[in-house]
Amino acid sequence: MLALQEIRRKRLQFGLITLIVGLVVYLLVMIAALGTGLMSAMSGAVDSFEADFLVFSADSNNSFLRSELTGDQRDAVAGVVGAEKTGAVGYMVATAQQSGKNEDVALFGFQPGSIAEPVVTSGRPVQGLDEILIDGSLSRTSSLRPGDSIVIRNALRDYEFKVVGEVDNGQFLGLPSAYLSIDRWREVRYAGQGKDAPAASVLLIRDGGADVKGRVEAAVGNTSVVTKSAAIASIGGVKQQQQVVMTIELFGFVVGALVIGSFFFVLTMQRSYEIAIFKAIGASNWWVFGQLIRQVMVVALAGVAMGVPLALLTAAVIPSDIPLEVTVSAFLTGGISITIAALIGGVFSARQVVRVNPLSALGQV
Amino acid sequence: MSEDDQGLVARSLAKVYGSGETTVEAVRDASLTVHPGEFVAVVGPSGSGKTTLLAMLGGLVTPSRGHVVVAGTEIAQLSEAERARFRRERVGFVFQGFNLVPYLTAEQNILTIASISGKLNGEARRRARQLLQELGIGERSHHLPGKLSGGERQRVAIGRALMNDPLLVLVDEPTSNLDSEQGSAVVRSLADEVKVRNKIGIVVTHDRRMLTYVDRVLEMADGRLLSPQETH
Repeated sequence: MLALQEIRRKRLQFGLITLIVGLVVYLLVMIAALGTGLMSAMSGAVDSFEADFLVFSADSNNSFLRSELTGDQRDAVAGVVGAEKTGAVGYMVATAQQSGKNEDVALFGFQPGSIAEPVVTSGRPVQGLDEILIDGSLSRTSSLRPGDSIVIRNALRDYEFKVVGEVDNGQFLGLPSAYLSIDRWREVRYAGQGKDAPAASVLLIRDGGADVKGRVEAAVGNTSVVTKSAAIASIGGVKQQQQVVMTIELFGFVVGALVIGSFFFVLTMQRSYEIAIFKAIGASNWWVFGQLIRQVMVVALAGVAMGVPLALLTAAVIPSDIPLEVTVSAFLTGGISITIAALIGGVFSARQVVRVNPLSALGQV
Repeated sequence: MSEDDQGLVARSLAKVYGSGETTVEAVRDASLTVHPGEFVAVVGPSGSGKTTLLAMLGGLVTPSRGHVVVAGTEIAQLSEAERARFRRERVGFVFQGFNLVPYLTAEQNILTIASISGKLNGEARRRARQLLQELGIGERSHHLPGKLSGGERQRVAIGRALMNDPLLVLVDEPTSNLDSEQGSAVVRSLADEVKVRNKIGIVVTHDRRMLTYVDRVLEMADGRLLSPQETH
């Protein structure tokens, strides 16, 4: 009761601290959302693969661009883990042309009906060689919509595709992704090579069983099997980007926690006179501690309740070409971490202030 | 059980602050006994050790020597937590400077003692309102201390001290912030409370006009209690 009474009476003081907590939460949520958005722009398309492991050619250094797998390797992997648990994926960078406008895309070929086939969020799945799916990030930043046609050109000829649906798979290396059948992808990627062309860039494996890496690498020559997260980490620049984002988040958290902790410390120490009164008339240290922590929690939760909607509002109005993804983990990073930081600051301040001599209420010390 | 087991007994109390050359002996070898229903005044000039004595009797300060027994409880042997409990259950303090919580109304200030005791309920609220009425400030119950006169604040402080129906009522300079008429009324109402409810009342004052209402006066000078004298 008393904790809330004080907040009611000192609205300006507590309101300002709530504002500071809210702004720190907002800052941390935005940093986390930008980090997630950046990661999604770099590796979202790979992250959305329904796979636990990816198979690269051994000499590719786990690079999507350099990895090339033959049809025999594809079939051998399917033989080891089961055909229904694998899917072939091809990758290349292509320029899609629509109404005279060029748009670079990360072009993925997939094996229809396999685990590599992307989930369509609007429109319909690819049914023919001349059909293509586009990622939502492409439709958001261009005028391209399902029903439109695009042209993708290789060294020999132009291929016209009809956009039949959208997926929500994110980007790859900063480019919006597009998906077509792997047979047509082989034609576009390896113009003129015919049957000798590689069958895929990578193979996906889902639920491959125990020691899938060891079994596949032993049975299928010239292959490298890595987890999906390792495959993402091996994408050029992603690991460094992850480290930079994590460092920024860490610094943001530490600075935010120190700012909030300091404010709570000053606020609490300013009340040592009133706490001395409570102690003089018989309040236990635990009671004082409980009142202070209750106030800290009210202020911290009010700050989170302010910062999170602010971040959502920003995400709604920010231009769509800025990689910002407000996710649950971004809320957790900002909200929970600052609540914990406030609690730590509050506990530290409370520990100091409960030591106040109750005699100071009598003006004796 | 002797009568002393129900009252307050202090023997050879001393309080020394500091050490070496900066040592100050605030109270020296003070002994007193106060029975239930008795209202005792401790008088003396400023700096004579009255407030320190009061703080030791109420368990706010640990004596350097001697002991205090209240209703059979030796205070010096209690832990810090036990002393806090002793203060909230057995002692009602009225501090010199009122010491009200500025952001709580008169009623809420009185209820703080119920709150820290974990007894904040309808019964406690009824008692707080009754005390405010008895103290003549019922209509001021929702005012903050800053909006109350000195006399009204003093009465709120008294209400808080009496809220938990304590055995021991300790009052420090009740008239220092009041005019003569208000001061007399405050001391008279405290004396009545002590008599009617059989409490142990000790008031520290340097205002000799207030001594009309007490049973006994203890003189204090240079940290020592001088010979007691009866007033009634």
